[in-house]
Amino acid sequence: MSSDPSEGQAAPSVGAAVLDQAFDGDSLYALRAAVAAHAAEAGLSRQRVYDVAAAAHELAANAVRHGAGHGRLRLWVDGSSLRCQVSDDGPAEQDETRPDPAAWQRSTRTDC
Amino acid sequence: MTGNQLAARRPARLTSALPGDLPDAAALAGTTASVLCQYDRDRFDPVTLASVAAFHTRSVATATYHADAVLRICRQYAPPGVRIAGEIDYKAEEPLTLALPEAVRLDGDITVNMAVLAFIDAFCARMFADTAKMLADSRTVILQCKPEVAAGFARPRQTARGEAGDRP
Repeated sequence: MSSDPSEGQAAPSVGAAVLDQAFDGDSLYALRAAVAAHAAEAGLSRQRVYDVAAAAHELAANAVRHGAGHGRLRLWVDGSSLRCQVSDDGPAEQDETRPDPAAWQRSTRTDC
Repeated sequence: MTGNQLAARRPARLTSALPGDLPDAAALAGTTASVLCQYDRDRFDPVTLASVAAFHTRSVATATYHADAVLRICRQYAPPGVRIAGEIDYKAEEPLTLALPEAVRLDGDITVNMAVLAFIDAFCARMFADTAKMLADSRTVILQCKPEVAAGFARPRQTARGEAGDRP
């Protein structure tokens, strides 16, 4: 899992998104189901399908609970990788452990 | 008193076996009796259950902490603990806060039956871990779940609780 705020809300640059779905606190179940379905379709093992859905859930739940309360998930294939991007337009909480908090943009994004 | 256990897991025989198995309700009228029904209603379809409802004049519902289309949390009596089915995430904090302490108050080990649980998030996994830490050393929390779900328990601290630090 990695994050790259410098890319902001940019659309996936490699390959078209196979899933582009908005979510909020009441639709996390549907989001997990959609991510799992596409991960399975991409050929991932049963365990990896679960792992991807779980990671997507944690990111989305974080956006719901600590961000804007809603957000958007994009999933796309990049070569042999399956990439997942979760974004929301909520304020980023300041993290003093980061070396340069001012560099973080208002919009946040986390990839897994 | 018990019913005939032979047919307990065979839906096809339920309608023929059940009437003869049960004690006569009229004969027990006005008395105190304990009856253990060994039929698992989860194994029978609604139509079959409805067809034998007339013979089953009493029903006992297990304590249910939460039940909707996605998640069901209820008490498990044997082995003692909690049964969770469906998918569970942080939104189930309230019913889990009821269910887990009640399980702790029971004697012996606590079994969390998640055999048919399809998903658990880090928040809930951490709630189980916190419950286990509350127990005396002589007691154990036993988690029964699918392998892919079990893997999630290895990393609850990485993302659990959603503290400020886990947000970029």
